[in-house]
Amino acid sequence: MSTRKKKTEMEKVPEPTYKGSSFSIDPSLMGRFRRVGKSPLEDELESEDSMLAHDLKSMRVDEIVLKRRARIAKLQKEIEKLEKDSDKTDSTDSNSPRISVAMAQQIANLPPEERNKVIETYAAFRNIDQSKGRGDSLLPLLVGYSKTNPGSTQSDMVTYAKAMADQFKIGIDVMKSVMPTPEKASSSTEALKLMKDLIIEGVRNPVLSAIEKNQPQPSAFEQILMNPDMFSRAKEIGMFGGSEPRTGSTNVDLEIEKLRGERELSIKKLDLEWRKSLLENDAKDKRTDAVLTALAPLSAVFAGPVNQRMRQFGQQQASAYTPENIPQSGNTILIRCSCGYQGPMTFPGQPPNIVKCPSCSLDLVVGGAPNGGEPQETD
Amino acid sequence: MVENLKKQIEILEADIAKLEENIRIKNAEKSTASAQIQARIFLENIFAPYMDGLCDIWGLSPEEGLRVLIKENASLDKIAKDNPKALAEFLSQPEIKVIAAVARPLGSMSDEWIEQKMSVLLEVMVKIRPSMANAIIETPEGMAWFYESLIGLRNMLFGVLKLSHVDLMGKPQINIETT
Repeated sequence: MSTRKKKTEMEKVPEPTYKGSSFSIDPSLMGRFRRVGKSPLEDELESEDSMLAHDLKSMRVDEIVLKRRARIAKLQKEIEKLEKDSDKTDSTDSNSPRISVAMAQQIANLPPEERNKVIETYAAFRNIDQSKGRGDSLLPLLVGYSKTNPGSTQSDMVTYAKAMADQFKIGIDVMKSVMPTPEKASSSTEALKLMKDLIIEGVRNPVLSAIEKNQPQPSAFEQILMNPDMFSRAKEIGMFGGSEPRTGSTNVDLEIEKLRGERELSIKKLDLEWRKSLLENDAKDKRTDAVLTALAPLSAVFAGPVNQRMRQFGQQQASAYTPENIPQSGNTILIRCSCGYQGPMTFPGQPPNIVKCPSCSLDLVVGGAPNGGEPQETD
Repeated sequence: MVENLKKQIEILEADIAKLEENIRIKNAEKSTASAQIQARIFLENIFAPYMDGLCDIWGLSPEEGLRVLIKENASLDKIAKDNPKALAEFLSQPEIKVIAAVARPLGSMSDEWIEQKMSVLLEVMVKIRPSMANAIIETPEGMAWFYESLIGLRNMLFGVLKLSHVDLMGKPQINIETT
């Protein structure tokens, strides 16, 4: 019996399903930073931290710029090297045939017989005119002749090529006689070199110099970083902040706090002085108002008694002080009315029998009883 | 930032100047009104009854009494000094004590303040007792007499009358200073 166990089915792992995602953003990044409980000193420290971070960023940017410039210099060197190599190749491989791709394609498109004829004729002429360099210019003519005259013999092609070469030579001689003679006869390689120099001097170098000019000049900070001596000196004088605790910065912070405190106190002092002056004005008004508010009802309540006391006081004073020159009229009577009025009344002659009270206009009888509303004669 | 602060300070300064002007005007109005009320209270309850009492005994009208006092240069405090007993009795009256206590701030007012208020007193007097006002204004040296009398009354009622001791009978001992 086989004890082979039945193969249990693998438990299927559920496929992960996308149920959306959520992410949280730091409230400080959303402008909801709470400033509760922050002291001005913390603000100062934070601002200094941000300045240091800015400096660090600028240092990193400078570093990147330096790297890029080093890379540009390296690439320029490589270009120069490649150019030198290409010059050497030009000078050494002058004997190799220079067949363009288009020309090679045209040759390849020819029938095999024609192709062989063209190649052989070209090789023969190149061997003959190697020093003069005219073999290269004959190849297109040979291809054209082979296309227009298919089936022609190779001797005909050689004759044609020879005739064309002679015409080419005559044409060059005529051109030489017509054109001003150059100081040196320039070969195609020299012309190409001249063109290359022209392109290098006229186009590439100005472009490179313009790029160099546009590159940021090394700042004082970069110069310090690039120069080890200056860098160590700057580090010694604590330009980049020392490893010691922030004693200098703390002193500056304390000074700033002190100045800020003084300023706040002076503002508070001014505010208090202003409030004090306002309160003083209010107090003055209140004091006067208090006197008035107290005097007004008091005068109403005590008007009668005070009035009476003052009159009595005056009478007492009058008995103690007698003026020297009292005009002798002899016609003054004292009025005592039931309305409360009491006072003298002077007449030029004899007083009438009935007088009117100055206060209530009640008719009073001169010489009458005081309580009955009648006047009492004093003189 | 600094420019913004400067602008705010300028605005604040302008506001404060405006407030100061408003307060000054308000105070002037209040002081004028209060001075007129004080003048009326003083004239109706102090000065006129006193003159009436004087002239009652002398047998003169208040106008005539004023002219006599002005001519003899007898200010009110000068007369009171001649009769200190009557003054002490007068000051011991409960009504006078109450009035003197309430109006005590007036006792600290300067001579200049009294000189300023004298014009207010005369203005009010012209309204309520025109004959008395005319006697003071028209009689030569009348204004000087009125000024001296007011200062004398202040000294007599508030300022320089020092109540050094109040006995059990409620009668204070008084020291009259003539400064």
